[in-house]
Amino acid sequence: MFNLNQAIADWRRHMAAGGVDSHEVLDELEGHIRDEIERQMRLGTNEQQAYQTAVARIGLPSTLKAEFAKLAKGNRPPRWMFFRTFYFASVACMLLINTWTLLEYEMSPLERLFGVCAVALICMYLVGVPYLLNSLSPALSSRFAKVIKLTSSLVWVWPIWALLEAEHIVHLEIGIAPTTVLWCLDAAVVLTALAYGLKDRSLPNGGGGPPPSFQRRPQPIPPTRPCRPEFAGSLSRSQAVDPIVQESLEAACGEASRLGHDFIGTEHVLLGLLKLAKGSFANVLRTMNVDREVVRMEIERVVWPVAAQTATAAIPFTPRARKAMRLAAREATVLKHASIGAEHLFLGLLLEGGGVGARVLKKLGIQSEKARQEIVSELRARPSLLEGQ
Amino acid sequence: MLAKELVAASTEPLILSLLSEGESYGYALMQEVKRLSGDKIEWTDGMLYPVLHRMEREGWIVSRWGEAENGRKRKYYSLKKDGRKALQDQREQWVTVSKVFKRLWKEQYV
Repeated sequence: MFNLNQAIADWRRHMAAGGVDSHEVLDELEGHIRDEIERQMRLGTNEQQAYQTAVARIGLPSTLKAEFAKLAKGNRPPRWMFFRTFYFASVACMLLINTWTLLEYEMSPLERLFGVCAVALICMYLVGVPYLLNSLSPALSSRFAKVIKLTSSLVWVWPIWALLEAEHIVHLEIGIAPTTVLWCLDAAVVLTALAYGLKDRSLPNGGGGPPPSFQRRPQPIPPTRPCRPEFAGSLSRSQAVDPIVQESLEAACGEASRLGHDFIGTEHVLLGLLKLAKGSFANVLRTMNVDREVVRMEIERVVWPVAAQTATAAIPFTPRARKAMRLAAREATVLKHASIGAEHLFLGLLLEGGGVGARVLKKLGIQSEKARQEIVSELRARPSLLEGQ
Repeated sequence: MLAKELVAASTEPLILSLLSEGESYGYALMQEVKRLSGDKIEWTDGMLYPVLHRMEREGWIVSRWGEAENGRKRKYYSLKKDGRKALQDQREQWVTVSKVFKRLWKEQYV
């Protein structure tokens, strides 16, 4: 039985996988598809056929991606240009004013040299930071944002201190050069925050999606149906399965339900695994710098919650999710481990390669070979198959 | 059917002209162009949106998310002051071309 909502959700995943993963663009295209389907159905075409024609007319993700990429390279809005000009003009002013201060005031040559070098280094950092920010991976970018937020919250400390000193309420003689450098550092924090705001997010992929004002966070959809994953045949019957894996698969079902999906894909399994990560698996994730929140955000950037539907049957695993589980069982056997654990399932997801789970992990720089090494070293103490028998 | 190059060149002035009559959205713009041209101008559905987004970036049009009559959310576009100016410029150019053809071919419909 053809399910239009499901078909559109699949189409969105297909487009996102092909590089058109801006939620705003996908929403607009989805609206277009639905309008076209309605028009065709009024003319007597059945729903499935209308959907297929509408989707075909929208075009391939690669073609659309290329068109939107041209757009990203094109003209910038005037406000963006203004802030960018303001940013670089501020850096130039900062360099000129502080160099002038350091050359004008009397101080030892060593102090002057220190001051000029520090100001020059800060200005060089500020010139490079907009380009550096655009080349960061989503994980690093998210960490950088946290650092910016933290340092920005402290930016008022130095001006307040300087004001108190000017009013002779506090007194700390640190010299002209360190004072100049501290003012520069303070301005650098503010300008870094501005550079982060100007970060190029206009590409429908890679560039990190649309600008912040454009972006709409996916609204979690409350589950409206019983969540029962269909376990039969999902995991090897001849091998023992750790309780954490069973719990993770149930959590995966919960994630699928939360997103309004009628299937459990590799992305849901990954979300379920990360949600319940503990013990040795949590250590592996920590060693590999896998940030659960970053993974969750990345997955929700690619897949999109759809309106929840009422389903009575158990939610099935997708063929890719099943493949990941078979690969998990194989990994446990190859590594001579007595049971399939969360680590094996994580490896299985990585080795599966084509699903959303694997693609997100790869985008975040997680390689299956490195993961295997980490898991082997973490699980040295785990009972082997022989011991288990 | 019109040549691909001509369709591409006329997309922006057509969108500007349609939006000068009032706010509209992608699908409606496409259907209107199709209707007015007697099905001779047919845009590739997906390709319309990069053009609309580019025009928005250029400051010619502005968009807002609204609710359609069927309750679904829909992105509406409307013309800005710069867009009216761009439409005026493009209109003059197309009228010039049209006049040249009219004189050359001496046909009343050019």
